[in-house]
Amino acid sequence: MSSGLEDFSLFDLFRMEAEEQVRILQTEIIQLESGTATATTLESLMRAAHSVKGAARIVGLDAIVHLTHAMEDRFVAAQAGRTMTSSDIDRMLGATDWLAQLQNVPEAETAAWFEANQAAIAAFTATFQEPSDPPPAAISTPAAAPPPPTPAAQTEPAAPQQEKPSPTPNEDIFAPQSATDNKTRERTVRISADRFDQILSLASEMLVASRNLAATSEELERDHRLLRRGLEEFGDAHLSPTQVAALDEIDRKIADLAAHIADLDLICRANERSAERIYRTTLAGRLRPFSDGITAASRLVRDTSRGLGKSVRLEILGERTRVDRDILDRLEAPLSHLISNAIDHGIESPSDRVAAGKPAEATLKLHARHENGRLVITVRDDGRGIDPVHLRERIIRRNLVTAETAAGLSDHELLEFLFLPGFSTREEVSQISGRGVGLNVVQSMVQEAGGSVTVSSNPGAGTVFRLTLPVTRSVIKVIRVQVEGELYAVPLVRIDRVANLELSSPDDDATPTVDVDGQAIPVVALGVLLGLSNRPISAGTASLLFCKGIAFTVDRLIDEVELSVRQLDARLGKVPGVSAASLDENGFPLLILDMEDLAQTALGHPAASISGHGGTLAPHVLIVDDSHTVREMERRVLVRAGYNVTTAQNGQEAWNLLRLNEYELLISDVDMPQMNGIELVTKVRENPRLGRMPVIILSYKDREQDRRRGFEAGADFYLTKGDFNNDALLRAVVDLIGTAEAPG
Amino acid sequence: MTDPVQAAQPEAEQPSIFDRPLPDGYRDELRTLAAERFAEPSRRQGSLVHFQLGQLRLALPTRVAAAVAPVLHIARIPHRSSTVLLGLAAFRGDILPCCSLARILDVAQAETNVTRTLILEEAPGRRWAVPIDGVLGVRLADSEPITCDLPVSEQWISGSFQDDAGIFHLLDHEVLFRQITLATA
Repeated sequence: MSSGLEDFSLFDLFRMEAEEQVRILQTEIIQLESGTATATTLESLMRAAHSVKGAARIVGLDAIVHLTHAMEDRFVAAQAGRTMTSSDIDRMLGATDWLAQLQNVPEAETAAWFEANQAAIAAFTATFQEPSDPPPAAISTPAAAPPPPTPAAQTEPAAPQQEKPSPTPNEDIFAPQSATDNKTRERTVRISADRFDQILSLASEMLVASRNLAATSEELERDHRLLRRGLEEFGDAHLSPTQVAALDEIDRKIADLAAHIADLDLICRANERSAERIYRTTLAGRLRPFSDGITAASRLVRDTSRGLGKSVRLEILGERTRVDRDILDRLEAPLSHLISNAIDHGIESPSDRVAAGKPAEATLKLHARHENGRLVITVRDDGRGIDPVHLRERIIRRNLVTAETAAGLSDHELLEFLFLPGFSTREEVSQISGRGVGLNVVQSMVQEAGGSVTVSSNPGAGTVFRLTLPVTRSVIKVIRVQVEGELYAVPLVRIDRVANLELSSPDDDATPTVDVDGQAIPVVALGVLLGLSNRPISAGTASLLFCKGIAFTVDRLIDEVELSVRQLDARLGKVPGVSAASLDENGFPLLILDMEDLAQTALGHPAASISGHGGTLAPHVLIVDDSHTVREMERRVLVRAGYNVTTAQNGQEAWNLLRLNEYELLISDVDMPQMNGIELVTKVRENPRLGRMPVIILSYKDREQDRRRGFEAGADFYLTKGDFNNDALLRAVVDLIGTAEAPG
Repeated sequence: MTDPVQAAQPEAEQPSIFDRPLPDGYRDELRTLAAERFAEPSRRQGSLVHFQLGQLRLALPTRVAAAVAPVLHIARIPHRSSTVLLGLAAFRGDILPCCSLARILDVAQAETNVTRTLILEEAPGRRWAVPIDGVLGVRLADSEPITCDLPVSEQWISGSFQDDAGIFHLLDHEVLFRQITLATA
């Protein structure tokens, strides 16, 4: 099996290489500045710059070759004992900004990007030849900080080493690295995410197959026992010597069989254990250390605090905590929000801190750990905290609750308002925060990743944001339920509780309810919501799943299992009420339900996905025309009006679709290959199921005999393309099948 | 012509094979042989998978028939499982949309008992599972086309041919894939 890298262009490979090395550069440059660098830091920095240079040369990015060469020179000088000043650090970070910016440029736009930025990169590169001060102008990025108010402490250079000659642009970039490098560097192999998921799928299938084999071995053992019992039946029988000899032979063979089955059983168990280990090990390959997701945090803290004239030390705990790569990718933005917020809102200026009896330098702690099978991340600052009095006033001023209600809210309840859209405790908007979008966005992002976020605060002592997330999105715990004879999986985190409870007798029109802790919870049949049946809910005991204040009835609650999550086939589009798919332990496909979506639908607020899909709510119209332009124009008019539209290229294709699906209206052209519109309409009218379906003919043919022919075939409307306009088409459609609600 | 094998027998006093004069007519014979054209192998359409769907004997190019697999379970898809889209089926760790070929071809009487699925590969990574009754073999597509009554609409068939097992109809896979895509979207 190949690595899958053949699917990438050379530029993609450069980008991957640069991404990895820029992460190292950014992290270790900050370490250099903070004084936490070790003796190997400069060596590592030099190697990273060297790697990017080599990769850039391969793809012909000369400007980047020169830039990274200049960085390398500076690192070499530092190794030789030259002090790295704060402006050197700024310059280095500026260089990594160029590299990071290039990573985001699509390959097709690289040439244009270089054309626009070549001169600036060259000018920036030239600043490496200048004395350390004044600092060079870095590229403009949101994270770029103005020069610090006071010169930052000079970084202690690494222990003087023998001066290394600076690598020249023509040196051998493939030269082997030192033996020490090979020992300390973890060996890695790159494969594409899709290829990795494919390997995970195969490992899961192997596990299923090994379990099936074990089950077969057990069946053989059962058969063996039956044979043995059958043989014992002959024990008291009067048999001829030949029969006795035959029975003895059978007895020996059954004993042999037992030995073979025992061997097979051992092999099956070993096989199953290996398959289980392979599956678990492969799955673990999806997990990455938490540190991989927060590489930008140190830089963010540095730049933001310098920009605000504050002094902040970042402490990261649990860097090795393993997190699913999908979760990790989703964490970067919310954590950046929380860090910026903490520095801007929570942490005081050095003078205020000293006045409050705190050290001038604030501490911001980022801590990741596993707790009860969940990933918990806390962002804790030792700033001023959130003043409940001020918060309460702000809530009242914004008319979110009345003063009377606000007075009755606990501190914890008050803090919940911070997550409302548009809510901010700041009077002014700064570049960093105060627009009231941050925390709401944080909450949405964390929820999308299947987690939740809470905040607690100790006025005067600091604030803690706690993010609780699943460790992995590739394996989730689910409850399996049976609905209309079919098994479905419901993610455990989406369920408030499950119970078998007595339903209140539903009146004729009223929604049935179930009494929980004195509260009447509406009951909805999951099978009806999923479109599997129209069976009304009957009174009596029902198996219920509680989610978002709704009780969903199911036929049966089966069990609780772990499932490996797969994305639903993209060809199916968004399936209402379904979030993903999986294979169960028998290798059967199983759909994982989207309880949020189902709850929205049950509450009468169908999610956009449902109306977007259209198969369930909007009238379904079939448009058939051999002209792509006409088809598309008609489709857009009707989709804008809220109809669900399918198109076909000719009469035959339309007939196939009509046979296989339900449509409320057919709009057909006349002149088409394979089967023309008149033939199609005639066939529709002759069909018992389709015979009464409304039909509009839309044709260039505008002679009277053409119209007559259309009406004789069975059309309800005959529109001509010559004087076609959107309103005329829409009016005809509304006349025949009524209006459709436009998608929200 | 001299027998070259016999002529090549080692004899001490004879010159080596390369020193001997060419036999009479050798050049003409060689020229004639070199000018002779060999018959091209008869391969018009590569190979075909022959399979049974109810009473129908059908064929598809092997390049679009990726595999045959037993049907363990077809999971119904809420709001989507329709006449054509039966649901989802598992195949080698993947979950594929499973469609009824019988219903697409409009031969309801050819509905199978769903014991096996033919895995069709429209393009790399774009596969469909269709229940069939069994695979009858893989053959070179070298049979002569015949004209006969078609059991399904002619739009689906790109040709018919006679085999030892009877008459087979070669499905037009491009039309088939387009229709499956339309019917399941």
